[in-house]
Amino acid sequence: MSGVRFLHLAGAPNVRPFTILAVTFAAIALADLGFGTLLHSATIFSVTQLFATLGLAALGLGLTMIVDEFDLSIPGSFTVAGAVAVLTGAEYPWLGLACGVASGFAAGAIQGALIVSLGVRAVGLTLGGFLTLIGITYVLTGGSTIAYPNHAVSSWLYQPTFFGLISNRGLVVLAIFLAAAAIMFFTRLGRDIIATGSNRAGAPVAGVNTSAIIIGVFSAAGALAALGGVLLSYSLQAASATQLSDTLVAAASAAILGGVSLSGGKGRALGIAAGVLTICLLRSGLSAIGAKPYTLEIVTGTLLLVVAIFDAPRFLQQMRRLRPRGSSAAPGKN
Amino acid sequence: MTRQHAINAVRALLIVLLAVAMATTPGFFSAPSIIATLDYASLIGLVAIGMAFVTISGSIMSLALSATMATCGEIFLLASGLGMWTAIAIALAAGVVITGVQGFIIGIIRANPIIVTIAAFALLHGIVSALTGGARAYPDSAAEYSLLRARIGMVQAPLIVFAAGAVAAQLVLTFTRFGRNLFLVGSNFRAAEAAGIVTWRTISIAYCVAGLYTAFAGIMAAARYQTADLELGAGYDYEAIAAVLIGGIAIQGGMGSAWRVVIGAVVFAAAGTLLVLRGYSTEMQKLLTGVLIFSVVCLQTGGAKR
Repeated sequence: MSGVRFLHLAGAPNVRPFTILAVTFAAIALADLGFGTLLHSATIFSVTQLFATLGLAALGLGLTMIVDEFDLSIPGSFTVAGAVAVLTGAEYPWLGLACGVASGFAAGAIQGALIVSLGVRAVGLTLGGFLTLIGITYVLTGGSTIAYPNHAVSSWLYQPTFFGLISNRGLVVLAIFLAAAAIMFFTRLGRDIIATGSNRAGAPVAGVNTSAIIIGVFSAAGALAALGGVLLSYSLQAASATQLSDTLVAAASAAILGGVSLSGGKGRALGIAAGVLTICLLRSGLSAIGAKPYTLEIVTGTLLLVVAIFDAPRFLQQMRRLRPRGSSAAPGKN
Repeated sequence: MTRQHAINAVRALLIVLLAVAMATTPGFFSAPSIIATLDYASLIGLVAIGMAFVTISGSIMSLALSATMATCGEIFLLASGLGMWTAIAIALAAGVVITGVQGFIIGIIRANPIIVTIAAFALLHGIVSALTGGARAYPDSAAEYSLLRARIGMVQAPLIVFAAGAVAAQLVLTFTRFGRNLFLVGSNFRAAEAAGIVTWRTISIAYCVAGLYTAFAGIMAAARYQTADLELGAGYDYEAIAAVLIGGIAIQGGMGSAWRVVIGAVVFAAAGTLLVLRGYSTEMQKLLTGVLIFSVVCLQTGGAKR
């Protein structure tokens, strides 16, 4: 009986992201059996480095998904902020950081305001935003890779701490995840965000200013992605318009594996962190055990597809209909 | 109502600006420029007609058409030794199946179309790389498909395929039961169900059509370049949805026509040609294209509340 209860607990929405993370870890460790490459501290460091790169973009995208939207411009904010920071922050890294984050914040705020005032879905609008931001990055960088000359900053960010398991950059990203989790869990703001996502039409009745929440979430998402981009460009000492073009697939997979519901209203910052770690573990783990690069794409694509199917509004209804003696299925919600 | 007036005014202004730019840009109406514009419009347009079926069905857009286009292009070249028509049939069937499966998943359980197509994009990239080992596809040495690269005066083969495809798509949308069902499913899903429409079938067919047109684009592009890899369709998702929106098809679904796609594709391609002729750098072209798409989405969606 306790086994059943354990499965129940492991599958509970708030625990599921951590269960998936543990299963992924176990699966890769099993595939690695006898080679010992996975549990090497260098592999763990590469996992946390990837976590630092993807984490904030996934958190930003996840936030917009929690309010039942989808921000395609996240990789754009990520990329443009890196270029802005490299161009403005050579002498004063803090200034570059501020300018980079401000550019992402502005991109998010403008798009959020347009979404609210035009009354449109974010997908189409942020597609235009994405292409504009990438275009701005092309113009800023002249289409090539621009170098960041301040070595002191990059070596501090790369500095391994905690027994060589995580860099300072990783610690910064982790701290932001904890702060976001605290805000989501303890404050009224967090509850308002969830309310906006689960019922945008009804939330105003409960005193939620949904317009302000949407604009705020998109601004925060842009700023978070931008911070991730600035930290990456500082760390790599470079910025370019083509940096990390697969951010979107990875960030979306991470958010979804992290328990963010595709229909809005559900998701937690720490769950997203677990989702990001799962993706990073897959990526580093698969390459550590010598899998070909395309294995990762197939595994990520399959995971995304499986979650999209299980999370679909009519999945259960169709399953019931497939049962041999299934009674007539209840009408779906939409 | 006043906002609608403002939006219409901005639209008119954009059209006037485009016309002025065309008239004042030397060489825009020269033969090479027109051929290049129409050729570009044909490839974008074929994908955009496919995208329009997805958009009209209420599924916003597909992010996997670029990968489908590349995959079908590779399949066409790899099968080209079997004869041109056989290779075309195989590539078209592949496009229909790849995209149709996504449509079935989206239609039958109402799965999120954006996530399903992002997943399909990653899966296609992974599976094609695994099967080809990442190598580029080249045509069979005995392959003969010069018909696909033919040119009569200023009319190239892709333009003929695009024009015929647009007429066929418009006929399907206007005169078939599927076409009528598609508009109802896209504009009001619940009403469509209440009216007894088998919604998953309508959505699946819409995606099959999208795969068919995308495969045509892949075949024409592969025949043009005589080689194909996964980058063959790069950017086409964005350009196709841009053409759809410029043509005035609502992103929330339920309305649209093939004619609008034709206008959208030609305007988008003409804007691209203008930027090249006016000597903008590649970087500046990317920025202005982005700004164009962004403004079009704002204008397009500004009229109707969701």
